[in-house]
Amino acid sequence: MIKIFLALLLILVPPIVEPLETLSLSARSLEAKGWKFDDITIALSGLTAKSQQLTLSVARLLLPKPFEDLRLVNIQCSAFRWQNQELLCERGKASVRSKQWQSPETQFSFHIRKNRNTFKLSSLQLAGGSFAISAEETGELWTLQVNAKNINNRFLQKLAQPRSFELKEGQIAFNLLASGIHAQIHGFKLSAEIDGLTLQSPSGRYAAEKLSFTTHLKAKIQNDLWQWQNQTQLKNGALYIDPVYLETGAQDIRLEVQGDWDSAERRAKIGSIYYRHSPAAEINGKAILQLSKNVMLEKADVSLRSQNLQNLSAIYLKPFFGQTALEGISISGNLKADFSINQQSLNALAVSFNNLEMNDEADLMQIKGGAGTINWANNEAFTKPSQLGWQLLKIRALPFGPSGLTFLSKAKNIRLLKKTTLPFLGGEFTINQFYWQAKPHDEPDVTFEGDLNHVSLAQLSKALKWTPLSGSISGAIPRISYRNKTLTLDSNLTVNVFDGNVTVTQLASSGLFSDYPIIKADLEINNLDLEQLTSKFEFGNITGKLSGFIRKLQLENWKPVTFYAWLGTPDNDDSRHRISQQAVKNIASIGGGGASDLLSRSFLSFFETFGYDKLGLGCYLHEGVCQLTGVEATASGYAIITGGGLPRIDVIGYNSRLDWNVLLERLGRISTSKEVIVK
Amino acid sequence: MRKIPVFSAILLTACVTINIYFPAAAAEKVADEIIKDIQSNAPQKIEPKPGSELSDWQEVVFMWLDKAINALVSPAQAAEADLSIDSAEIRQLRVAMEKRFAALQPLYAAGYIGIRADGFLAVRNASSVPLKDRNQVNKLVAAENSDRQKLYQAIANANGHPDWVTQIKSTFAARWVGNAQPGWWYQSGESWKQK
Repeated sequence: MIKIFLALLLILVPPIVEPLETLSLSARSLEAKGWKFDDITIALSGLTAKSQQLTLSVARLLLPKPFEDLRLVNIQCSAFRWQNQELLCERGKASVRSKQWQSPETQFSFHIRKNRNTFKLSSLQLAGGSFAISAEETGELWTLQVNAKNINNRFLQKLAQPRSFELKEGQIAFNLLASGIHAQIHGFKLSAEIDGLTLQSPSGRYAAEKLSFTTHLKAKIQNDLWQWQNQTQLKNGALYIDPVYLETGAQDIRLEVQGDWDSAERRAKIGSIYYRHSPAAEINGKAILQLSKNVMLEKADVSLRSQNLQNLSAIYLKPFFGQTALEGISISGNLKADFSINQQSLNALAVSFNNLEMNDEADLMQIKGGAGTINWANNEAFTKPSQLGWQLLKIRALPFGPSGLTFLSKAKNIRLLKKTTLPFLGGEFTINQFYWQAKPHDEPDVTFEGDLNHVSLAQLSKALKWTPLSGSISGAIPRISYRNKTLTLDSNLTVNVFDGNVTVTQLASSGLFSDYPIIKADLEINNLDLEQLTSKFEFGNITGKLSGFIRKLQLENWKPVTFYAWLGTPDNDDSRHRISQQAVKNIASIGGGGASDLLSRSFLSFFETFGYDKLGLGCYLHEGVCQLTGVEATASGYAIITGGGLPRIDVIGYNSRLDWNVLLERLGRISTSKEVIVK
Repeated sequence: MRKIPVFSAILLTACVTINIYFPAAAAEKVADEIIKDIQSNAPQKIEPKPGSELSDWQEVVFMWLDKAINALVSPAQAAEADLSIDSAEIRQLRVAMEKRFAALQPLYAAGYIGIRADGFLAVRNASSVPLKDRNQVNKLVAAENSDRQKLYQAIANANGHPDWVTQIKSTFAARWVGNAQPGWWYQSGESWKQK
């Protein structure tokens, strides 16, 4: 600008050949390289005196693109000196106009010499703030300094009308110091203080609310590469980068980055990045970014340290878990993680953690005293194992004691590396095989095979809040596969319990990892010892065997919707058949029986136990109603217990249809009614 | 001219080929039932299925009444009368949507979200949603829309007509607006209106 101004003056002011007192020159318009001066008048007085009085007046100056909206009007230079190839304007005044705004009269000065030129503009009112600009040209070198205060973002929005975001509130103050040669900039330093910034991207995915921060950017060009470094510190306000929400203030959030920028290749190489969000995490790393059409993370190696996983997960992880099964998970502990990213995708990961505590609002999973290292790579040839140990691992209500697993995680799968036995409810739970295959936007495929050894039924029933049971449970769990939301068994699942066994077949499930799982199965029950089953059961003691089945069982959200079940004394059972008075009362009450009164009022109350020939009860559950059957049909109902020996007792049910909820209620409180008689 | 006896006429009517039309009226009824249930603050327990409230003699009377009506009404009309919503998948989705409604209700009331003309939800003006709630609002809307689409397909499947999904979706679109509470926003043409 200085050069053009000087050139203009030299063109306009002719050589003086006669002793004139005053010289004035007018031109209607002058245009060069996009700069257009209209109505120019130069008056030079005191030509014979030692110093001349020059008055320069330009009605309007139009600037080249992209500043075509700006117009400098009423340009006046009232203190002007020209001598010995030196031009000096000390008290210049001009106004700046645009379609959106106009500046009141601002002051400027310039000093043009042979090898050194300076230009100053002070108190330029722009975007609600004030600017002070000074420029100096020495030979080929130039420097520019801009100081801006109280720039209002609303004015900036009107002025710049940026497409990628809308500025709503806040003020900006900055200091810019730039230098260069000819038309090329060689380096700059920018220090800015932004206060109360509120902005929105059109999609709402990026936004700031009353955000205050300071930033310092320093850059210089060397070998066609811009070398730069930046320090930014957030002070107050909130920032949203979808889906992460950061609230600053008490928390110290700062970013320090240095790197270089290849403008020809549009590639940024970040030599070091340091991000600190106290008290959540610290990140160190390096990266390469490609900024052609979109920003692409070409490569990055990042280390993350967190002494406070609780904060880290709440701020940076939870936003990604919304409306998924992981939504209610909270984590605490320490973490050290190294990530390697290639072409925008996570390539490798090594995470070490200790004092890990994990809780889930839905009580699906809990970990206490967790420690270990997880190694992962997006590479099928990856072989580095991972280890996870814990003091307590709880899956739903089932607790596993102190133990650990060694596994291999790679690409989208996790595989158990060695057979592992975990302490489980006084016994053991052995995992022979485990395989997990993650699927994008869908439930994972899971394969599992294991054993149960001497697991305490007392502890199991307590954990599951069942009526207390005694004995233990053992069995082999065949390979179970959960694939395409369907659970399948390779062979039958047989569990040894109460000296008998329960075999599960036709197992199927959908939505197993959702909060409304559906499970289907057939169960065959063989020769359970009723004495063991009922010994610690408040139901009352029974001796003998129990067999039967539950077929076409369908559970929705762990509640039965339909099944066809029969449980009763098996054929050819030669064991001792005795039933206590308490058990008779309770069995009778299942069918809505009135045994209680009869037993207490009749001579039968003298007997603690009774012999029986057979007992049995069947239920076909359909549309909320249980169709009941017994050991045999009678003229008026069905026999639940047929007597054997003396004293003989038969329990007969009359009501063959029972609402399922009523049945559950009766089982819960074991009550009596008048619908069953004991004879 | 020979007269056709009334009984023969009924028999002829009974021989008409059954055309399965989309049961529009039943679909509206079903949509209302599901939407009201989802948006109820004290929802009925969906599972396990409730037992019949009718006594045996009532069931017998209604069964014969039903048979009598079927004999007189043309089969085509009879086929249009019902739309089943009895499947595990539908119950599964209703539970999830009912649970989510508690979180959606204040967003409807605040005007952050509205019902689009196609019955799906939209964030009306993303910039009006407080920053700290923005992620949750986006996730809730995405999850609800996904479940609505699954629900329409599940109803179509439960009735043996997967091809009815578009009509079910269209029926529901109107009923979501119909069942919107006062103050909620819905899309009408290109603009948003407040109920």
